[in-house]
Order: sequence, then C-alpha cells, then structure tokens
Amino acid sequence: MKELTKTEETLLLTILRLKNKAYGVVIKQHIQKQTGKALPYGTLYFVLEQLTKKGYVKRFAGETKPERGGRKRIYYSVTTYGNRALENAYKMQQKIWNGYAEQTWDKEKS
Amino acid sequence: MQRKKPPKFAEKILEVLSSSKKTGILGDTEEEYRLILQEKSRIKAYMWYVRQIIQPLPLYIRSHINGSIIMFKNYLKTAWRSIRKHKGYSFINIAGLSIGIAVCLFILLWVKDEASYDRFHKHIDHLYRLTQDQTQGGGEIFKVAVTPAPIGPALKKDYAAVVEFCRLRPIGRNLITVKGKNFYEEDFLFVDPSFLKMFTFPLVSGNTDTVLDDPSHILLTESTAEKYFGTEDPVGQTITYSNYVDFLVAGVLKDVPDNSHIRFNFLGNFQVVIDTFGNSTDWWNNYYYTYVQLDENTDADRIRAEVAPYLKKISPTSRMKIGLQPVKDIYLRSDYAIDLYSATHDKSQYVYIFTAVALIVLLLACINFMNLATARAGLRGKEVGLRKVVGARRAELIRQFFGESILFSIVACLFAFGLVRLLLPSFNNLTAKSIDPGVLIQPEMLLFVAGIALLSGFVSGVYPALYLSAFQPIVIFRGKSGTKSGSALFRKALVVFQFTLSIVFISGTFIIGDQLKFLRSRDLGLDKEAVIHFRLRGSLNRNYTAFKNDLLKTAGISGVGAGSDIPTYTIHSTTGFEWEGKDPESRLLVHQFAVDPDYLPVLGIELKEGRPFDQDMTRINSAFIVNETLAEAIGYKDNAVGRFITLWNIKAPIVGVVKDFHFKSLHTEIEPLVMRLEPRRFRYVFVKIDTCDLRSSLAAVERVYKEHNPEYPFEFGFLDESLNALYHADRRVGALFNIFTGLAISISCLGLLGLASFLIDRRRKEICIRKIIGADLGRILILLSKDFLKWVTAAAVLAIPIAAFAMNRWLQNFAYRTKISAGTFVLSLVLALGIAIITISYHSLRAARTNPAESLRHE
Repeated sequence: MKELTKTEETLLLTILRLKNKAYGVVIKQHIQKQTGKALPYGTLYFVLEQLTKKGYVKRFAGETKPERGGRKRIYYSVTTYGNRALENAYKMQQKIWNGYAEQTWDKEKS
Repeated sequence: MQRKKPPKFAEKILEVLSSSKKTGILGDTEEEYRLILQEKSRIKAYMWYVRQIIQPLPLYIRSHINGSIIMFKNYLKTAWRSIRKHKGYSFINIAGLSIGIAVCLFILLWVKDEASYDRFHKHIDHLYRLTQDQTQGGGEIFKVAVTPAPIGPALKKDYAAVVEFCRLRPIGRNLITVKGKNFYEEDFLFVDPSFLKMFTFPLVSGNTDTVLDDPSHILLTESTAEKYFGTEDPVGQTITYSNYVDFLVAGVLKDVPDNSHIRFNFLGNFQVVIDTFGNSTDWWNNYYYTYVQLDENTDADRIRAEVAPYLKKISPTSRMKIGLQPVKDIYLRSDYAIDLYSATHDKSQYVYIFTAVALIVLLLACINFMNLATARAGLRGKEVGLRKVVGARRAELIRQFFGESILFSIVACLFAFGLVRLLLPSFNNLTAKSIDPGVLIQPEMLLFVAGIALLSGFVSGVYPALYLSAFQPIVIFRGKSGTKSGSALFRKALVVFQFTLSIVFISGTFIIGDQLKFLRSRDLGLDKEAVIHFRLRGSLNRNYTAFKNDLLKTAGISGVGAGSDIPTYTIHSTTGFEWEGKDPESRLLVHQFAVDPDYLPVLGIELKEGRPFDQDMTRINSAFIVNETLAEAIGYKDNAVGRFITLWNIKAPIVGVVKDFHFKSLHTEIEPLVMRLEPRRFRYVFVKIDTCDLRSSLAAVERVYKEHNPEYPFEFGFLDESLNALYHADRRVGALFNIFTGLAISISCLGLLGLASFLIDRRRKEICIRKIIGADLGRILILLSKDFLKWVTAAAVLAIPIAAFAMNRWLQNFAYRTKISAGTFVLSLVLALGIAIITISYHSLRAARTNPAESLRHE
C-alpha cells in the first residue's frame, strides 16, 4: 500500500467526516473552511479520481437537481480499504511526530 | 432574465480534461457557479470558473507525461528497429531529409547575411541617400544614385530636420607611394568630415570629431595600415597619392565589415575632390553620392514631399526629382544606375527566389518520406493492427508515427549540420561571402534548426500518421494490404509533383545556361579580341601623343587609341545636351565619351555614316560622332551628319554616326552616346596587339610604357576578360542554380528509387508468372517502367508552363536575352525520363531477372 499524499489524506478525512452528505460542492466548501485554502475543482476531482482508481473511495449517484443543469449529484464514501489507508497514515504520523511536543516544551523551558 | 449556465466553452474544456464523465465535476461546478452568481458579478463568476480549470493544469500535464513515457520508450524502440531493419529505406529518407535541411540552412545563412547589410550603423534608421530620377527625351525615367555637390549643404542649411549630410566620392585603383615604394591600391573614398559621425566605422586610433577635418589627412583601415607599416605606428606617416599629393596618416579605422555597401581602404577629406575637380556649386553634374541623417522624429515622407518645391526655389532651372532612399535598403533593393560597387539590379528577388527554392527542396524530401511510408503501409499495417488489438487508441498511433518522422528529421538535422559545417568553405567560395562557421552555433540558429526538424518531421509525418492509424485490424489480418486505391493515386500525385519541380529546375538550368552563353557570344558591335587596356596615368597625360607614336612604331602593335570611358565601366553622362528642334521642356540623358581619333578603329566600332575624327589632335571639340540610338532619339535618323548639336556650351557639327555598340553590360539597353575629341579627358589607353606572339607584344608595350612613364608600374587587362567579368554575378546565380537542380533531382530520384522498390516488390509474383508464360526481359521492363514514365510525362506537361513563366521573369533582368526555345523543354523532358528510367531500372532489372522458382516457392 502506497503512502497517502497530504491532499489525499485531507480528502479522505473530509469525506469520512461528512458521512453520507459528501459530494463535490460540500467537500470543497468543507476543506476551504477547515484549511482556509481554496482547492479548485480541477484539482479536487483529479485527486478524487486517483482515490477512486486506488479503491479508497467509491461513488454513488444521488438525486437530480435543477441547479446542477439536470445532472445527478455524485456522492463519495470511504471504503474499508480507504479506512485502512487512513489508519496506516495516522500511525505513521504519530511515530514521526512522537516526542515533538516534549522537545518544544524543553526548549521553551531552557 | 439572467443566464444561469456557466459558459459552454469553458464547460467543454473541463469535460475534456476530466478523465471520466461519471465524476460529477460538471454538476458541482455549475452548482457553485450559480451560488457565486447570486452574490457577485458575471465576470467574477466567470473568472472563478476559469480558475477551476487553469490552476490544476500543471497537475494534468504532469500526470499525462508520466503515463505516456513508457509508451514513448516503446515508440523509440520500434522506430529504431524499423530504421535498422530497412536500411535502404532509412538511408533514402535520412539522406533526402539531410540534403533538404542542409540546403535550407545554407540558404538561411545566405539570406541572413544579405539582410544584415549596413545594419551595424548606429543611426541606420535615420540615414538616407539622396537619389535622382532623371527624365530622358522620351519621357523615360533614368534613376541614378548620384547627385550634384551643392544639394547636401543646401538641404542642411534650410532644413532643421536634416541633422547632417555627407558627400562621398569613391575613387578606384590608384597609385600610392609609401617609403619610396609604389603600389596600386583599390578603394579610396573621399568624404565630408561628418562621415564618421553619421556612419559607424569605429576608429582604432584618433579622435572621431576632428580626425577628418584636415584635407591633408588620410585614414587607413587596420589591414591596410598593417600591410604598409607592419608593427610600426602608422599615425604620422606619409603616403603619396598618385604621385602628386602627400597625405599624413591621421588615424586608423577598423576594417570595413563585409556587409557594408560603402567600402574603402583609404578615407580622405572631401575637400581634396573639390580642389581637384572643382565644380562644388554646379547643379548640373552628378559626381557624388549624398547621404543625409534625418532628425529622429522626422518622417522621411515629409521631407520627400517638400524637397521638390524647395529645389525649384533655390535652382529654378533645375528639373531634378530627388528621392530619399533608406540606407538599409540600398544593398538589397537599390535599382539605381551608377551605384556604389554593387551591381545595379534589385537583389531582393534573389532572396525570395532562393528562399522558395530552399522550401521546395525541403518539401521534396518530405514528400519522399510520405511516399515511402505509405508505400510500406503493407509492412507496417500488421504492427498497426496488433497495436490496435491490444488496445492502442488512434491518437496514440498518430503520436507514434509523428514521433517516428520527427526522430528521422532530428537525425537528418544532425547530418545536415555536419554537412553544412563541412561544405561552408566551398559555399563561401561560391557565393563570395565570408560566413563564419561560428554563426552555426548561435542560439537563434539552433532554434531555427530545431524548428526545421519539427516542421519537416510534422510535414512528412502528417500523411502516414493519419493514413496508417486509420487501418482496421480485421481488414489487415484477413490478408488484405489495407491500402485503398485512393492512396495509390495520392502517391502518384506526389511523384508527379516531385518530377514537375525537377523538370522546372532542369529547364531553368538550361535557360540560365543559354542566357550566359548568349551574354558571352553576343556581337557587341565592337571587336574585343586582342585588345589590352590600361589607365592613362602620370606623365602619359601630358605626352600621350609621343607615347602613342612610339607604340605604333613597335612591332606587334597594330593600333593605339584612348578615351575617357571603357566599355565595361561608363560613368560620364549628362543632360546638358541640346539640338535644333528640341522641346525646351524635355531633357535627354546622353553618355559622352572623350576619345582620340583611333578609339573607334582600335575597338572595331564601325561607322555607319560620315567620317571619323581628324587625326589632328589639336582640333579639340570641333566635331561630334554619335551613335545610332542618339541620332534616332533626336530625330535625325538618316540625316544626322552635318547637323549641329550642343553639349554643355560646345556647339559643333555631327561628322559621323557609328553603328550601335554595347558600352554597358547587356542588362541595360543601348543608350544615346556622343563622342568628341578632347585629350584632356582621356583616362584609358587601348592597344590592339598581335596575338601570334602575345608575350613579346606585351613586353613591347611595357617597354615603351616604362620609357614614357617610369614612375607608374605597368598593369593592364584584356578587354574580352574585363567584359566577361561584367556577368560575374549572373554566372554565380547560374552556378547556384545548377547545384539546386542537382539536389532537387537527386532527392526526387531517391524517392523514385524507394517507391519503385516497393511497388515492384508487390508485383514480383506477377512478373514471375509472366516470365513462366514466356514474357522476355524487355517486355517486363517496359511493363514495369510504363507506369512511372506516364507520370513523369504528366509532370512535364505541368512543368513547362511554370518554367516558361518563371524563367521569362528572370530574363527580364536583361535588356538583351535569348529566346526560350521549345527544344529546351523537350531536352528537359528527355533528361527527366532518362533519369527516371535509369533509377527504376535498378529495381525492375532485378525483378525481371530473378528466377521464378525463387519467388514462387513460398506459396
């Protein structure tokens, strides 16, 4: 299993958090709210496509809306495989960050 | 109602970029677009939409390249294998393309050099030369580059926009004496002191502002200074000019760049010329080249419009029409008579012609590629089919074939580069240029080469790429070749096109050759054989008669004449010419020679009517002899003898009319000419010698010359050789054209060779069966060649009108020209057919001679 990139990680976590409401517009707005950075749709979908190909997320069609030009909403959800990838990433993250807090604490003391 | 939909165009792009339609990206973007539209303006919303596409572009590109790099490697490998497997085919392609690209490179170098003339002057955009349109008797305009002396100073005085003016007077070969030794030197130029401010000829030593102010000073170019003074400091040395005036070397200039239309080795003050020739206030004679520098904000057209009324004011009798010619146009586009050094016809046409030729040669090579690639379609078809079966999309195949053709052209470019580097010296030799090999590695040159590689790769790849990629696997694997009859027609059309161009080139070469022969052999109306000519210098000016008498007493010399002009270089013309019954408004530009009585017999110029000049040399200007053209121009066609005419203020009768003879190159028509007797103006001596014993005759002339004129070394030329030299430039064009023809033909032949090999290969079985049934060798050869020859003949039919038209245009450069004969075209056709037959016969003979058992046993 390949390591997740930062954007992939953010996306997976966002979709997970949004539960079954995760479709493009909402995902984008959520990320913007949380990180303060705008992610253009081109990039968003590029990464979503990669995640789909790897099997971390899967999509299912939702309701048709007139404001979407009569197109269906496409919802995304994280697969078990995707969950495992997140778990791995989290463990790795912890190992790497382990001890960071103490060190900065030490520095501030001295 | 406001439109709620995002722009169609942007939506389309997004759709193309996103790999799958199922992602919902279009819906999402539209949804948010509407939200934004509620709060912000349309333009802002639109900008937002575009940002959604543009920002991730690098991401798309990167992912794309990553994906195709593996396939790219595979394409390279296949291309390389294909090159190695079909060595003959690859050789033909690469050789053809290399030649085409090399020709392009050469022509680019040449064009670049031609276009770079005079661009090194700092003020080039504001420098103009004054030119003059002289109106002749019949209302024709005679355009000359020379102007009267006072016009420059007058313009500067009365026009604020004319910042500076400068007059130039070049003087050709003359004697100089340095430290007691005599040398003949070329290229003396006498100029106003403003010269160095207007033109950028940097000084190596001396001060630009003052160095030319003193008329007794002279400047040398670096190489001239080195020639005479070696390592010594030349400044302060003395040079004696023409045995009568001493100049002090005041400074040294950098050598004049090759791409300058103004050339000199010695630069002196204009005052010297004024002192020698006088007439600095004379508005009637045009001895000088006048250049002006305009103010940076001045429009040249304004000055052009104002000059004519102004001239009328200051010189009411003048009818001059003065033009301002940009200095940067002089070299390429000047068509003025009496120009500096360079020939007087428009050279820019050669730039266009050769650029066209280069592109044609490249196109021929590209056609070869196309032709061979499609001819081999049967072989490549299986590969295409297999690729398609395993999942290649058409776009990928197109990319593959383009990649292949570009690979070919890159390899060809490398070869072409080497070829150009190798042949550059001979190219320089041929074109009389000195192009440095260093320019080959200038960035713009490399960029150009890369451009050519891509372009020729694209052009030659476009047809095979589209054609081959369209094959249907099922058709190919079922055993059909996959070729449609349409493509065979296309291939034939390409061959016809190639041969059309080749035949145009061949007949062009013949016609140029004919014209050059015509120039050599035309009866000029004078006898140029066995005549030597030399300048009348030093003391010969004073004792010419004694010198002549001594020469005539010498064995091996049958005649001696002298005159102001030599038939290769005539510069004395004037409009100060009147006759009885002349319309006072009109002007006739006439050439006038001062000649001695024997000028006509020595040069073999025949009298039509009247008598020659008296032998009495003291009867100066008492009679005129005119040519037929002049007699006709003034309306005395048959009764000119005895009429009085006036040249300047000399009024005298016409005593004789000579038959028209060419006193200028055959580029120009014979113009009116007046000859008179005035020994003071003689500049050339002509001696008719006995050619049986050429050496002793020449030695005799030299001996007599030395007795009379010891201080000037003897040097002479043969009249026929000097006349021949007039067509140097034309012969050079002829030589270049020969080379291009050779190249065009060889490229076409390479193509034909390749094509023949493939087409004949496909008919091998047919040939064998015919042989078994009893066809003989000749019959089979005819069968195989018939098709090709039909197409070559068709090409000839197309080529002849094109060639006739193009060559007719070229011949317009000459006032006297050969006729384009039908025989030329027949000969070209026969030649093209011959070449085609020989080319094809290599393969057809091989096919016809194979043992049928060899070819048929595979069935």
